[in-house]
Amino acid sequence: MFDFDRWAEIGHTLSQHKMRTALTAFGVSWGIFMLVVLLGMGKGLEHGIMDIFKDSVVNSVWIHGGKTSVSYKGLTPGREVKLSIDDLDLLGKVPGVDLIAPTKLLNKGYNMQYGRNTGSFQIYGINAKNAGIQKLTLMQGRQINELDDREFRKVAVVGSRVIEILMGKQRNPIGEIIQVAGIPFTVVGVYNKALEEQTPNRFYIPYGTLQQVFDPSPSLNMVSLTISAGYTWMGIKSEIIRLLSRRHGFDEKDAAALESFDINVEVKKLQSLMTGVQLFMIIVGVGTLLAGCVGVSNTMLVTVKERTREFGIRKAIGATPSSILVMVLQETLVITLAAGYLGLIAGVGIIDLIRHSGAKSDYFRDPQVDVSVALSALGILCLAGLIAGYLPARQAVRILPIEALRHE
Amino acid sequence: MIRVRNLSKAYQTGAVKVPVLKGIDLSVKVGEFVSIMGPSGSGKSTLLNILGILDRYDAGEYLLNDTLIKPLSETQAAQFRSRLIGFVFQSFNLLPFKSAIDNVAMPLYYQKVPRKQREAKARKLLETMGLASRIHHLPTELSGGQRQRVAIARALVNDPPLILADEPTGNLDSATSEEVMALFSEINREGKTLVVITHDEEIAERTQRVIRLQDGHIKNPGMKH
Ligand SMILES: Nc1ncnc2c1ncn2[C@@H]1O[C@H](COP(=O)(O)OP(=O)(O)O)[C@@H](O)[C@H]1O
Ligand SMILES: [Mg+2]
Repeated sequence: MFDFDRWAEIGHTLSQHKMRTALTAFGVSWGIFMLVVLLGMGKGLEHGIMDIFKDSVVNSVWIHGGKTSVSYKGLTPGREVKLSIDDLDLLGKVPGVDLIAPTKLLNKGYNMQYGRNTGSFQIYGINAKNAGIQKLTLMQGRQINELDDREFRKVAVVGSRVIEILMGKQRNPIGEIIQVAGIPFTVVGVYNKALEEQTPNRFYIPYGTLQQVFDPSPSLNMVSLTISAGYTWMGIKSEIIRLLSRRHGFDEKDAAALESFDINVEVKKLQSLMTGVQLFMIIVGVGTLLAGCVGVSNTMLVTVKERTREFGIRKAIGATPSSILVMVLQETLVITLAAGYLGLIAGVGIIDLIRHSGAKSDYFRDPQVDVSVALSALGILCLAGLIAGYLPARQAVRILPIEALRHE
Repeated sequence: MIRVRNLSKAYQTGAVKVPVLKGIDLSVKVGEFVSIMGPSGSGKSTLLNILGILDRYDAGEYLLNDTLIKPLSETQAAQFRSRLIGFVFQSFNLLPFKSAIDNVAMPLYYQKVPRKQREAKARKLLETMGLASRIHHLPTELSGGQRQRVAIARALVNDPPLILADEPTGNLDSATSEEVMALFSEINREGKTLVVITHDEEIAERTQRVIRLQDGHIKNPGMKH
């Protein structure tokens, strides 16, 4: 198979036709490069989107109180609906509700102090069940547990940004004590990601502790729950609204009175967005590939036509038609593979650069090259080049040498 | 070596068929040195191209080394051209992107001769033709006479028993023409068969036999001049 002479002949022909070679090569390189970069960025988008809900249980729902928009039994619209801690018992009994947990946010900022450093951060009260619904992504330590809540322990799971500001980076924060308005809280966990938060700068403490130390009122900002297997939020939503409307005095049909956020629906939305993005990527990828194929085919077609006379000369001095065909095909293969390889390297390089630069946002992280896709694309380009070279070349070597020689 | 019987060929020009060769009878023996003469357009090149299996003919018979040339496939034709025929074109037909030595060595490439031997042989031939200092020049960097000599060297390189040359001295000055004809005589003495088209009576006189072509017929079939 390895015939050095033949490859030397091909190398010589290619190097003596730099423009022709470069044009073909550029088309292939560019096509593969674009494909790799596009698909790599698409992967980054996919990773980013999937990461958002990484720590959520798929069948969880959040309920917030809203403002009434219609009057109810003589009550004027515009009233705030405040969920309360007692609603948990009521809703917990609804068939289909599995875990249920409170979130209370203190609307007043508290001064926090560690050594000489101070800062003001928002305090959230949660309990152990929260971890089963929406996990905080921990870097260190543990989540709030049941004993913390029951025994009103002064412990906290805090955001990494809070630690950075109060303690700097060098120290192990677990077990350290932060003074909150003069009350000592022990850090038991550090998280770096919570839902709907850009920078991790919250201060989570047990709900019971919060109620005892800061705010005894039963009002909650949010109730989160998970749906038992066999049930859906759609199926139990009306019962939950009915119960809450009776207790809080609003019209069942008043859509503004309660806001609910079904993560399942959101995940599905994002999944369909993902499918859309992937479809888009496929279309763009196939488009790029087609453009590449057309480019390669076209160059091959033109090239073969231009070379009819050369083929005539080669035949006149003893070249068989098949030797010329093989030569054309090998030239195509060499250009396409070499150029494709360059495009691949450049594309992978760019994607690597982006990944290592750490570029990320809510919807983008860790772009990744699917090498097998890139290689198949290269394969397709080779095939296109081979077919586009083969057909006209076969035509060109079939004609009589004297006719080929007359070709200009 | 060559036997041609009642060979005819016409070119299709638009709707009309223009007959160019109208029943040629011709034979050339091994070791002969023959020239073809005739007015322009009489069909000399057409005949030589058929003899060189570069073109087809319509009717009659062409036997090369007792093989009927008509039903050959292109692959077989290529093998015949490679083994038996060296063709010198009027317009040289060198590969423009290859140096003199690479052009001369090409026929050996298609005979699968190893690179070193190819180059040695091509170099030697070019040297005997006085092109030692030009072997790495591209055709565009050579004069007409030099190109013609490269083309002749290419026709000789695979040592074919039959050399066909279409006006090999047409582009050369008289001194160079002399040299080329001397070279051909030398080749002929080595036992090769030569058929050369020429316009030049002087040159024709140096061959053993002149075939005169006129209007698609041979005027002096089989005669010695
Ligand atoms: N490819 C062709 N198509 C049509 N007519 C041709 C072609 N080649 C040659 N002819 C015609 O055939 C005749 C003989 O041409 P040619 O063999 O080249 O003559 P010569 O070499 O003797 O000058 C001329 O009239 C020429 O015009
Ligand atoms: Mg002629």
